[in-house]
Amino acid sequence: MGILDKFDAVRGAYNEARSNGRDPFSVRFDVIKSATEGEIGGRSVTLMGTNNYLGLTFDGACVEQAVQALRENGTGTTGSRIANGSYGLHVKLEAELARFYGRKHAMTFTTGYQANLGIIGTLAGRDDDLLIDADSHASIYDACKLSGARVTRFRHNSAKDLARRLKHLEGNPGNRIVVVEGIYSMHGDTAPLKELVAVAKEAGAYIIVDEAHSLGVLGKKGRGLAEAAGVEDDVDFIVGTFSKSLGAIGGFCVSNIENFDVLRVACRPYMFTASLPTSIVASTIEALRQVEKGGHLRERLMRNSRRLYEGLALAGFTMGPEITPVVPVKVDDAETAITFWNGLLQEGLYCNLVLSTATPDGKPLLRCSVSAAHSEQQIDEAIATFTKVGQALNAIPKPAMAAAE
Amino acid sequence: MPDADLDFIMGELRKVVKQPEDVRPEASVTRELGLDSLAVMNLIMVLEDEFDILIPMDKLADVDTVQDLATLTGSLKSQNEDECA
Ligand SMILES: Cc1ncc(COP(=O)(O)O)c(C=O)c1O
Repeated sequence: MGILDKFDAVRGAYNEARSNGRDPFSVRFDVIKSATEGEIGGRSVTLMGTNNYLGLTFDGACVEQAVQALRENGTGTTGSRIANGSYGLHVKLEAELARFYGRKHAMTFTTGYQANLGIIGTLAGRDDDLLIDADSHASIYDACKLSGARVTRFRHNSAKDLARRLKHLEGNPGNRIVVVEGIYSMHGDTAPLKELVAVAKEAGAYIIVDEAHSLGVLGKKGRGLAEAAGVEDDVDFIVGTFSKSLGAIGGFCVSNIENFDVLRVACRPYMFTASLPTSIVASTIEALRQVEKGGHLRERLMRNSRRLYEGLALAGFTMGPEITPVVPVKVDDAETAITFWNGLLQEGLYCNLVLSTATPDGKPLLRCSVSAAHSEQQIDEAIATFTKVGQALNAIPKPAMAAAE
Repeated sequence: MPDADLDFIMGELRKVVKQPEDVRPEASVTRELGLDSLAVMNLIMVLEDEFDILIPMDKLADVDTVQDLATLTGSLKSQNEDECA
């Protein structure tokens, strides 16, 4: 038995996905020209699957800060902060994050994935119970494994199911830790955070909110769902990423909890990996500043999201449950999804193909993510492209048929 | 009433597998019946509701066959009853 034989089923599915045209899992752009445009094979492609919610990747001030830091501090830190020490910019970014969230403590990680591994995996120990939303991101699932805690999933966005489970755990000696997300990365729906927080607090549980897709997007100041829902005081830990709205890479956690800094010498995904290069840190500090004063960007982002969502719904597609910048189109089966995705790319539109195991209900998705940087014309063209390809594949009714009905 | 539990589990499995006739107590849930990790976790939630138990994810490491699953839910149910007693 070969060492990779256990992946036969995955390999089969992967080969099938590739047999239909391009390999959806290794698209190669010749060049990325802006936050919303790239080129593949000499042809222009509109980017509508890059989580670049505020379009800051090419922001002049962010780029300038990064370049300056790069020149001053070099390309990398070549080690972890525990071993090699921190640069001034690391400390500054943490102070800025703490100030932005109005919290006492902040800690940065090299990716958002590692922030979840580090925070969830370290906070929850053997005697503790982790209760995670069933639709949680892979990094949360992996963090659970790392923690060694008892883990149960509650029904997606169900405060009632969470309450039932917490009741079961009443009297257990360990801590109970609830983990939810701000905006769910695949279906784009938000958590009913007020209800979930109330249930968690009632049971004396801690609550962690992963604002990966909601930082910069929700809340008046862009702090995410906890701000928008008015429950920041009751959320014990917020984790997030610099890789989406902030247009860079990295992860973080903020909290008011006492003795937070012990995590710096207890949290292995913080201690045993190299820290962020200061060019990234510098652009992130600038991006955070722009998020805070970015009310106009959030308004544009929401206008664009609504335009795309409503346009696609009107064309007859099955959409996600809520309008946010994550706009998924549900497709019946993997074969159609793959052909559809290829057709879109052929027509110059890039979105994400999500096959069943990564989606909560097992249905494949063509997942779009909208940016404040998209023009109305780009959104309208995307709707037209979806409609054209969808009609050709009979995924939605053709106009003549629709009229005849 | 372990037999009733086993029947319930087999009934739920028959709803989701491609070949319902393959569902037997000794069938391997993932290898023979072909459930992927998502399908397993969804089944677990149904069982948690039906039997009013929590099935921690690490407990699934010991589950291979349908019978293993019934044994696991049975032992969690009796733990529940002990606690209530
Ligand atoms: C909910 C959620 N958490 C964490 C991450 C990980 O973020 P990063 O790309 O910074 O590793 C992602 C992004 O993929 C995500 O969707």
